[in-house]
Amino acid sequence: MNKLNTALKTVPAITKQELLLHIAEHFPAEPVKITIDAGPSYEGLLLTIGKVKNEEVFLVLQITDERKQVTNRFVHLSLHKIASIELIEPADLINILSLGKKTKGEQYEVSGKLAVQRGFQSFSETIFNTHAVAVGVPTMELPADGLQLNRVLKLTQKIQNVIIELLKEEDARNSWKDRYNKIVFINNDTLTVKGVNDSVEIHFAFDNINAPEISADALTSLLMGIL
Amino acid sequence: MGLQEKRAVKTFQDGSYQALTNEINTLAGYPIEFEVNWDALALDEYAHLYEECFPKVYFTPLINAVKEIAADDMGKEALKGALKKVIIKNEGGFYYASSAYSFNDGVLTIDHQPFNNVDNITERSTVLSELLMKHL
Repeated sequence: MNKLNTALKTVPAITKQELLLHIAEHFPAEPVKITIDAGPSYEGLLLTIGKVKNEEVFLVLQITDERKQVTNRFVHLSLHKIASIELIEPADLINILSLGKKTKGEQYEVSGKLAVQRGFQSFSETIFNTHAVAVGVPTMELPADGLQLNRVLKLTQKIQNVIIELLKEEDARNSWKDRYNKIVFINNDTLTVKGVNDSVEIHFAFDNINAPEISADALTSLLMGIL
Repeated sequence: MGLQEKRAVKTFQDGSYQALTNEINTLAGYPIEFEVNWDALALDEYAHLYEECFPKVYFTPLINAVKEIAADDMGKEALKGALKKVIIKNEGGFYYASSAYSFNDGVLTIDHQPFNNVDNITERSTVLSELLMKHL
């Protein structure tokens, strides 16, 4: 729950209309309970939401019964009459409240060291096969915990994607080739990238499964800073 | 275990079992200790199926998993460092891969009924490979 609360703090404020449009488009099977100013509440599935000629927004809700089964009852509501919207056991609250900008976060499974070492090997080979740049096989002091290893594995994939994207530009490829042929992953609370001799050091919370995911934009920017 | 079962087990032990364990050890690149509870595997009135079912249920999935893991030196080294012994038994009444395998302190335990879901070799291979990978 702490992780959820932390994530919720990062969700921006949104209007009722934005929220309902997002639910109708991306989560049509998520039940909502809508209470209007006059008091009554309606629980059901959002069918449509849209503006009419006078710019007023209306929505149509298909009512569900006590067993959460859809009924043949529908309610047509004006948005400005809505007092509150309750999400009922949403599968991905963060996604809904952030309008799809964030998801509930990476879920980690158990991995072994061999899988990570193979991931490192694949990282190097994939980048070389894509851009002919020998970035090296990442070296890292691997954690013993399977979930932490799985996070390292998934982060490796994300870093690989960032580097592949970055090296699409010739000047980036040339600069990397000229300066670096090794890459090191180092555990650290904050994301930092350093060029140390012929090594690229990526400092990040690799082994903290409760820490946020690595930001592709921030990593790209930091890598560009050392090229 | 009657005489017919004893003869069938002996035939399997002297023939297929040797070949199968040799194949596993060769793929792994080091000798793995095997402990088989033959009494629990050799069910009465199934002697005619030992040659077919024992390999499919217990050994072929292990061969497939070891083959996949030990495909490179990195995998061979990791396997050697982790898997020391394989115990094969039929005690828990398990007949699905999800329940049949466990791994603790370098010991892989295969606890599966010998004559159920015999042809689910692919499923067992996948589950076993994933389990071992988590411990390597």
